[in-house]
Parts: sequence; structure tokens; C-alpha cells
Amino acid sequence: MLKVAMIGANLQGRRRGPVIQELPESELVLVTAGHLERAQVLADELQCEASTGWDEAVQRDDIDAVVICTPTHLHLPAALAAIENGKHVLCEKPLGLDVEEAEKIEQAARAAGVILKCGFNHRHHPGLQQAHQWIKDGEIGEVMFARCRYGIGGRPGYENEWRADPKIVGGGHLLEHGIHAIDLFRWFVGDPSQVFGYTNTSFWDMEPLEDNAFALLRTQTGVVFSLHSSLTQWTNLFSYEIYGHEGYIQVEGLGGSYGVEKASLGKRDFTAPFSDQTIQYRGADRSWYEEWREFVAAVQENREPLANGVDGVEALRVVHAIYESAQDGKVVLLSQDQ
Amino acid sequence: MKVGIIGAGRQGWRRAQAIDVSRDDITFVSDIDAQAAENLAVVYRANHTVNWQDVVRDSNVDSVIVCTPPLFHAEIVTSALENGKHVLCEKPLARNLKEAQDIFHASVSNAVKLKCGFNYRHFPAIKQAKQWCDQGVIGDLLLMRCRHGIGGRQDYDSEWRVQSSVSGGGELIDQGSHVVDLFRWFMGEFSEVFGITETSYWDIEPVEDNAFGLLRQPNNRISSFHVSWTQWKNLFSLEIIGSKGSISVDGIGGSYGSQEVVLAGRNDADSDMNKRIEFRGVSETWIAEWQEFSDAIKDNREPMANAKDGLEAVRLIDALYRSSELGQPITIN
Ligand SMILES: NC(=O)c1ccc[n+]([C@@H]2O[C@H](COP(=O)([O-])OP(=O)(O)OC[C@H]3O[C@@H](n4cnc5c(N)ncnc54)[C@H](O)[C@@H]3O)[C@@H](O)[C@H]2O)c1
Repeated sequence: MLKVAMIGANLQGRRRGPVIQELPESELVLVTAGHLERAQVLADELQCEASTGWDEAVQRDDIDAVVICTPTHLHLPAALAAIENGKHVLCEKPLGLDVEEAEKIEQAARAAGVILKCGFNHRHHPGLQQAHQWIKDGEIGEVMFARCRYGIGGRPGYENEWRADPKIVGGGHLLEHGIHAIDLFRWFVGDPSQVFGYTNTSFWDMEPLEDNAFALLRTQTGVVFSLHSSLTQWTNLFSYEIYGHEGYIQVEGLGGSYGVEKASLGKRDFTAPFSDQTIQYRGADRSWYEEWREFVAAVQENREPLANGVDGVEALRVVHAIYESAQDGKVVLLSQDQ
Repeated sequence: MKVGIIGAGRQGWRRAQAIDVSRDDITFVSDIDAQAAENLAVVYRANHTVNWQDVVRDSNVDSVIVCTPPLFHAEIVTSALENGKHVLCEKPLARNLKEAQDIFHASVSNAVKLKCGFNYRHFPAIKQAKQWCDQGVIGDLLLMRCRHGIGGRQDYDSEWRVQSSVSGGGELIDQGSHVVDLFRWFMGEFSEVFGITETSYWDIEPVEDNAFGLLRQPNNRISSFHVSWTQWKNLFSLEIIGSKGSISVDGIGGSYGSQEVVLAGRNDADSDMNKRIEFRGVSETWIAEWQEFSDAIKDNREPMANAKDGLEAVRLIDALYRSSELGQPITIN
């Protein structure tokens, strides 16, 4: 039985807590938050203990792993404290405010020999898992390009949340949301070698953070990724398309307000009617459960998890390259041996 | 109106039909392929010739439609304008910026009309979208996205479309011309572009089969497009997001699917402004485009998609090609 403490009891904590209790191989024993009352509410719901700060979570001998769901600027100190005490860590994305912070966490985990997983839950959505499988099985042949349009409409008062506070987060909507699309591209295709991007703040009062980011990424072999990450997508949208020499894949929706998740596979054919096979994934979003299951399995088998610390670092590297590009108005080259 | 058609290929036939439906007279047809010229001329009881010069000089011709590959546009269009003919020229206006500028100057110094064949402006769903935008229904326009493409045909590699000396480029100047024209039409002018072109599948190097573009306006609004000859399932998708709502257009009829336009309000604002219109059946633009041109002549006004629009689209395409080559964004003057 993996005994777990959760640091952070807000939005993400509410999603992650229940699945820890649901999985038979794990048990949530402690929830901590900045304010005890907040931790207590969630702890009562999940029937575990509550405290403040993270000292207790990282120091108690009966705790094997911690889940970090704090605002981004606390990821580094919380993760390092946990790792120093030999705890396995599942840390929310983005792993740190910038690449350096993420690297510190990744290197510390490697040195300590603990498992580190970055919370790229999209990899655990069934449609995206299916897409990955199709690519691996060669169903669409050599990949030529991918397109992702990913956006939400924000919510009234968004500009007052910590997500819109530049002191707490390392970037705007690209870092908050778009990073998932970048992680998926790295998973599906590989690392980009050059990056160009534009960002702007066109609607929400959250300068200097962006509410829209547009990027074009290219790999050494000429695969292009077109990404638009938006906080002004009034009707929520998730659409990921991947085209190869032999066919194409489209994943649409993530359940909930994004609509039913669907994965389609079609083949190149110049004469036959257009046809594709589509799988619809009904029911609730199970990505949090699947992600947790993978983390626990990695701990038990003492192996790298899917979306590990390196993935956390590399996705962040791409995000910041896009920011740099947008700032300087230039293409940013990423060296290949990173 | 008496009309001469130069270039009796695919477009020549389409345009001829629209002119005929509009009760204008096709009096002269030209094609370097004598048989092609004759085949079309016979249908509409017109004269035919292998020399386009005969058409632009004929006093029995009021306006000329230029449907040759782009290589010949500049020479034919400028000559027609100088001979006092109104011109409807297929898109792209020309292969490159220099030729497009020549055409533009010829149009400014002659008292005739020039329309560039940006027929997408005449699709009913796109017209509806434009009307909503002009009425301020979705507020201030924040951004546009367009994904457009076709899977090509088995023997794409051997058509004139893939010889840059004839066409001016590949998919970027082909379908991309329409896209940048629509972006300008909705959003206004752009001051910087970044482009990537790739030859990912077809054996057509140095011409591209895929092109990606990001376009920036002086107020830092960004629009994004991708056009593709490897879009295995044909696609046209145009999205416009404004401060109060959004509009999307899907399909342009035929193999691209029937045309549909959807209007949606910002979730926390006006939720009862949602509308969806599907335009069933043939989505054709040739007649509407021809009528707009002939009205412009009758009313002595600038046609929609005039010489300036043709030129500015070529300017953006040219900048996108240069950007792709240099690997850096390009400022538009
Ligand atoms: N608006 C659109 O959506 C659209 C669609 C297709 C093509 N186009 C444009 O229309 C034009 C023609 O394309 P198409 O598909 O009809 O090509 P096509 O190859 O079917 O026809 C071109 C014709 O022009 C003739 N021609 C070539 N040189 C000539 C010359 N010097 N004088 C007279 N005739 C000459 C050829 O013999 C041929 O018959 C191009 O500019 C193209 O970009 C526009």
C-alpha cells in the first residue's frame, strides 16, 4: 500500500485526491494547504488528516509519496523537500516556473533515486492514448505535421486568480494550458529543433501574461507543429490533428465542457469516398485516475513513469523558447542533444 | 457586356457558364491550344484565336477574363487594361510581387475596372460571416484561424501548379492566396508575417505542398493558417473570434462538405445569439462574383477584391515565402 500526502487542496487537489482513495494500491493519509481550514475541508471529505505547510508531509516516515498541487511558484521548494526526504513525487505541470527550476527538481529526483512524474494528464486521455498507439503502429506512416487548437473562454474574474498573477506563475495561458499540447507533440513526434511564436493579451486584463499564444515548431526532420493556445475560445475546444504519409488522426474533445472525446483514423486514398473510423469515449474524464495508476505502477516496478521529470523539463524548455521568440521576434533554436 | 475569355481550361469553362447565365455575351475565346479555344468558343458561338492579343485589341470586347496560368497574367492583364478593357483576373493576381505591382500600376493609370478572382468572398457562408462582423455582432475582432487543404490527385506532380516558374510557388500561393485575402478582408492590414513551407509528400521540390503562416497586425493581433496539399480529407475551416462571440465557417461545398456558418456568443455574455446556417446543395460563387464585377462596371465603382487587394495578397504571400527561406519573420512595409 502506497501511503500518500497531498500538498495543495484547491482545484487540482480536488481532482487528484479522490483517485488516490479509489485506487486499491494507494491511500491518502494527509492533505496540507496554506490554510488549515481549506485542508481540513478536503481531508474530511477524503477521510484523512489535515495540516498546513509541507514539513509534515515530507517528513513523516509512514508517507511514501507526495502529490504537489500548489500554485507553480511553490513547486520547487515543496518538491525538493519531498525528494530530500526520499519521497516519490507526482508534481503538477508546469514542473517549475522556468527550465532551471524544473531541472533542479529533475536532477534531485534522479540523484535520490525516487520516482518523479510530471502531471501531464492529457497523455492519459483515452483518445490521445489511442492516437499514440496508432502512430506507433505505423497506421499513418511517417508524420508530416500536427495541428492543435486548444482553448477555453476563461471565466469572469479570471484576471484576479493566481493563474493571472505573474509573481506566482511563470507565464500566461501557454504555460497553463498550451504546455499539454507541446508535451503531446514531444510524445507523438519528438523534440522540436526550432521554435517561433507570437503572444498577446487581447481580452483579459492580465498583462504581461498572454491570453493567446500562436506557435510554429519544427523538428530537425521537417515535421511542423502548429499550435494555438487560447483563453478567448468562447466555446471550449480541444482539437489535435496529426497527418502522416499514409493517413491522419484527429482527437477532439476531452469530455465535459470540451465535448465527448473522440479519436478518428483515416487513410490516404485519392479515389475512394472519404471514410474514417471514429471511437467515442463516453462517460467521465478518467485521465486523473489513469495518470495516478501509472504513477503507482512506476513506483512499484521502480521504473520511469510515462511523462517523467525529463518530459517536464523539456516541455517547459519549449514554452520558454516560444516566449523568448515572441519577445525578441526571432526564431529560437533548440539544440538537439538536450 | 461583351466578354473575351483568355485561357479555356478548367476556370475558363466555369467562368463562361456564369457569364452566360448572367446574359452577358462571350464574343471571343483565346487559348494557346487551338482546340481548347475552339471547344469553348463553339458552345457560346464566339470567335476563337490562339493569340490573346487579338482579344484585348478587339473593339467587340468590353471586358476580358484572364484564366491562364499565372505566368501570363501580368503581360495579358496590363495589355488588356491599356487597351481599355475591364479585367477579371484569376487569383493569384501574379506570380510575384514585381508582376503584381506592374498590374496594379496599369490599373491605376487606366480608367477601367480590375477585379481579382478571390471567389471565396462570394461563398454565402463567408458573406454571412463578414456581414455579422461588419455589424459588430461579435464585437472587436481578436484573431482568425484557417485550415484549408486538399489531398491532391494521383498525378499532381506533373501539373503546371507545381512548376514555380509558371505558378509562382506551390500550395502557399495556390490555396493560400484565398486565405490571406480573407484574413485581410476581415481583419485589415498585417505588418509582419512568419511562414514555414515544407515539401512533405509530393515529389515537387522546390515547390511546397504545405505552408504555415502567422500574421501580425500593427496592434499585435495575430491570425494563423495552414494550407496543405496533403490534407487527405479535404478541409475548409475558417474561425473568427471577437470580443463578444465567435463565428466559424466549415466547408465550401462539393468534396469539402456543404457550407455551414455558426455564430456563438461569449459564454458569459449573450448566450441567445447562437445561430447556425447550413447552405445545402451547390455552393457556387462564379455567378455572384461575375455579377459583382458587372455591377461595379455599371455603377462605375471599385469592384470588391480590386487590384489593391490582389496586390496586397501577393505581397503577403511573397513575404511568407521569404520568411520561410530566411527562417525569420518579415516586416511588411
Ligand atoms: N478561383 C479559384 O478558386 C481558382 C481555381 C482554380 C484555378 N484558378 C486560377 O485560374 C487560372 C487557370 O487555372 P485552371 O485550373 O483553369 O488551369 P488549366 O490548366 O485548366 O487552364 C489553363 C488554360 O490556359 C491556357 N493558356 C496557357 N497559356 C495561355 C496563353 N498565353 N494564352 C491563352 N491561353 C493560355 C492553357 O492552354 C489552358 O487551357 C490560374 O491562374 C489559377 O490559379 C482559380
